Amino acid sequence: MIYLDYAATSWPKAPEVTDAMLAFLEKAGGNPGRSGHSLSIAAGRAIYETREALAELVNLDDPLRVIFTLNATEALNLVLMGLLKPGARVLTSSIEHNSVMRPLRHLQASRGIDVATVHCDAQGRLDLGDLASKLNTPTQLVILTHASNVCGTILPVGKAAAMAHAAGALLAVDAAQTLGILPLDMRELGIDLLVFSGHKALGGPPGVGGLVLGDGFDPAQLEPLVRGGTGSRSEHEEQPTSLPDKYESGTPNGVGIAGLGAGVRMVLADGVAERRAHDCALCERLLQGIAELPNIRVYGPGRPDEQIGNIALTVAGQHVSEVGWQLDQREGILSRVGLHCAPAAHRTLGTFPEGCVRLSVGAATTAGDVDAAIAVLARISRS
Amino acid sequence: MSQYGVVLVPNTSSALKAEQLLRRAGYTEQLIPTPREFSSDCGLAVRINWSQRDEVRQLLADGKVEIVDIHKLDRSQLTK
Repeated sequence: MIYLDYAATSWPKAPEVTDAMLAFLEKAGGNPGRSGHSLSIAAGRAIYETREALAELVNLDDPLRVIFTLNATEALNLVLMGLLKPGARVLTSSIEHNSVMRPLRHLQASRGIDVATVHCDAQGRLDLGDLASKLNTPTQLVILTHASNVCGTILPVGKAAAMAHAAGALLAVDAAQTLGILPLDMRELGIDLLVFSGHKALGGPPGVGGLVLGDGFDPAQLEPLVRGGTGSRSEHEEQPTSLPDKYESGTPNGVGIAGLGAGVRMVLADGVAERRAHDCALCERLLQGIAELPNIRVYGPGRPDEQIGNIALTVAGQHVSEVGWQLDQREGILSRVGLHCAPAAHRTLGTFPEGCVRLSVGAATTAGDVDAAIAVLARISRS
Repeated sequence: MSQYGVVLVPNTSSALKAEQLLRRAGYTEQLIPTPREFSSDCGLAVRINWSQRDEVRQLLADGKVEIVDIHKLDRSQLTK
């Protein structure tokens, strides 16, 4: 079996990750923040260490600004539902995932939010001129994916942050596809709100994602999505305002957060640059191999320096589901076909409503895996 | 016998952050259940040497740990 679906989730998980999860269950099983006994403190420490590792990864001073959620989708909902006031204007790109578009469409209907879409070209590249022109109208928030989950195109979030701030808007970045494989220095890039997925490039288990609040972001602007018990200020029936408790009610997924901590520490030990170089080399090999095949069209920049390792393609005259099935049946190559929860992106790329085949590489992918995929695609493309 | 102080913080994550900052700076500290007579904000508090309270207050302020209060501790069960 050859796993080329890293954009959906990373697999297999490293033994260090499963070991950390097992250790949490066996040795730190208390409820963090609820009781003062040693097992509760041990659980709290494991979670705090994951906050510290994530803060280091994004160059943030204060680990308490790392907020854990169920997944990136929940963190994006927290940002959009918690921040946007009735009538507010939001800018987003035309290659966003439904985890951004669906909450925005809901808020458009329920709170009268003005949603404007910044144009991306047919390769998914953000039109900064269009962003500048749309920022001429007062805007509360610009929310952008860091890289397309479909075709991998990287968006210039640093430039967008500077433009947003100059216009008095905040910048939120959906880094579900990129944290762990692209450098993400929140201070250097000027990101106010960063959403991440724990189970993709960070190598953690499913069930953990989060939101990182930038150094300069005032949490008073952001309402919690969920309220409830935090183990703190228990005599009060109002939600506490201290971080991270304001946004973390109920017992957290400690075992998942402990596993994520191990994944993040592995990223820090390897270095993001090395992870990126690995993905870039495989992405280039795959793009070059496919370029020589007839009847295959690749979407996106087609250049490893402008994208992450997600390759979107179609085969002339063949349904994407048929291509995906043949990849799986002939060589056990696991891809993802269809719309990838991102109809807006497929409209931009010109692949709506049929969708495309997405091959995505990651930490355990080898050159041999990529060559096997190219060989099967060669047979499919000539059949 | 050294006297202890107890640093009250708003939540457990802050107590754990304070523990890390103090440990790395070479201070002797211990997480203890918060004495109920001081606060019920957070179940955990940080026990320090009372003589070091001013340095600790500065270190935690520099590290952006919110301090609710620092009290002198004289309960025998928490000072052993």
